[in-house]
Amino acid sequence: MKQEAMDQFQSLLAKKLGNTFRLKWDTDRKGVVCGWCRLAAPDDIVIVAEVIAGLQGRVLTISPLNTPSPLVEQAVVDEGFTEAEDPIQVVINYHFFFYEINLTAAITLPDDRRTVQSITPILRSADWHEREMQELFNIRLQGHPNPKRLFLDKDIYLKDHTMIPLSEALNGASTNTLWERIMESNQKGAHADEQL
Amino acid sequence: MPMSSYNIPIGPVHVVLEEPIYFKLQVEGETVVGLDINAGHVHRGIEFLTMQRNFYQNLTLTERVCSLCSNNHPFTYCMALEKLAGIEIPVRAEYLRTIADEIKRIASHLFNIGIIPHIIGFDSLFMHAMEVRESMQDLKESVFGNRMNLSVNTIGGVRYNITDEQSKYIVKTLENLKKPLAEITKICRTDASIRRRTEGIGVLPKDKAIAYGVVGPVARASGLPYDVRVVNPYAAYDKLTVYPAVEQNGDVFSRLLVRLQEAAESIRIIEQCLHDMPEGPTDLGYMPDIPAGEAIAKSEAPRGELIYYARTNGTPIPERIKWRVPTYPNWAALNVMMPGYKIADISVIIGSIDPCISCTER
Repeated sequence: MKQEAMDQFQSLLAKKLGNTFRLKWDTDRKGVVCGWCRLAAPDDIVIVAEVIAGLQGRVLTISPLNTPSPLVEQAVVDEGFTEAEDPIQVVINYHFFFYEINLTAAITLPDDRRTVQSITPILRSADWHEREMQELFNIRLQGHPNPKRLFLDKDIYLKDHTMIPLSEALNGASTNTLWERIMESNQKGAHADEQL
Repeated sequence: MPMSSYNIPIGPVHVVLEEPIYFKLQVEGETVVGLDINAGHVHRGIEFLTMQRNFYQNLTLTERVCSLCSNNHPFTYCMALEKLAGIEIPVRAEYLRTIADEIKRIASHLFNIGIIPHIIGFDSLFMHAMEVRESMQDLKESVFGNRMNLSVNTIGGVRYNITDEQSKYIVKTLENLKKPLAEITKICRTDASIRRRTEGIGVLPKDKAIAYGVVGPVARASGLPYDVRVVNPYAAYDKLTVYPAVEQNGDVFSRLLVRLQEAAESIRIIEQCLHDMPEGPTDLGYMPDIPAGEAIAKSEAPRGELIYYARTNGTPIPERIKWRVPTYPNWAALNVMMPGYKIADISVIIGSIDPCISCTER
């Protein structure tokens, strides 16, 4: 059953993407299957989502990460290296689930692009994960039906390659900011009284 | 004349529990027609923090993501790293992990089983459920030394063991729990005031449950027999018989029944574990190094499927640790559960997904 589902997924994906992707399966000793799929182009994730939707699967989660270099070619960081010489890549791992199988599909965004196609129109279960990725990694979504902020205030400015410490940016912090604004305006008001 | 539609804010303080989340509800008369959820009020950025600490420091940190399912976080985190490093943990440790997890599940479910009557004003049942739950808190304190954070997991095994005397004590405590649990189940099933406020309320049909990817008791109450313990077994669950509780109606009442049945099932699982558990080591006896690689691990937390993704680069500090808590996919399904019901039903619907804001705001 699991083997059939694995073969089915592989053939469906090959039909649409040809030989452009790499896929390997690992099975642990309890029989849990995890697939690892590396896609050539970022837009291929839409094809994977369509295949998963066809198999009545869902999105488990999405894990974006800023990585200095691909996993297998981890370079030893030299003391003299400056950060500018060490380009940061954004890798996005999409974790799917179908027929008792866990599948991770990874895409790497080109350095000059921080935009991905949204898969929420295809798989509803991607909604919150995509919105979270948009806020925490400044990855813009194309075609998301409801790309509103989920955690951060809409006035917070996002930067590339930055993990935003949420202790500074969380919604709860606005109470403090609000209070400071009130105090400030009160003080101004007090001075205005003195001048009168 | 058409009924006018207006928005009402619910929260962010004290929606159901003392945790903040903010709902903007569109209502027509007193019927909900739409909602918008706004989180992020107490976000702690723990995922970021795990990438600043080493693998062993993260055991303590991940345990503090949530209180009621605190054990599942280091548990799943350890499993992800063990999978990544190819570590096989001792069989006794697998059983001990399962026991700790099921004890936490009973305590967590009993909390929600108490909260539902509390929301609808049946406070005597709430107090009864909480009193019954207290026996599990005592059990945790006696066996693990702590009532909430058990601190049992480590990479490669567990940090506790059960003596014969403790085993007898656990069996006795569970035996004493069976009768009051059956009583509470009977009251929940038959009491008219509970049924009136929960039956047919907050319905999540099966097709929507699939589309929204809901997990845990919420999914099982909508007829999806998905339980990680059965579908993707881990720890000792491949050696045990686990019957997931499944209900078909997808309403608040069904979710309550699923949790009641699961608490009883957890008792049976712990009994099986104590009976079958072999002698042997409980950990590797050393602190393993974690090589470069990536892995995912899943477990069935009290609220449903918890997933951890770990990516390492050969240093003692992980490159990325990401987790998705069970409440996370369940929030969005409130968009289906709420419209069409009355304002008075809102809190019981929210309570029925057993939301964990602490988990959501990791």
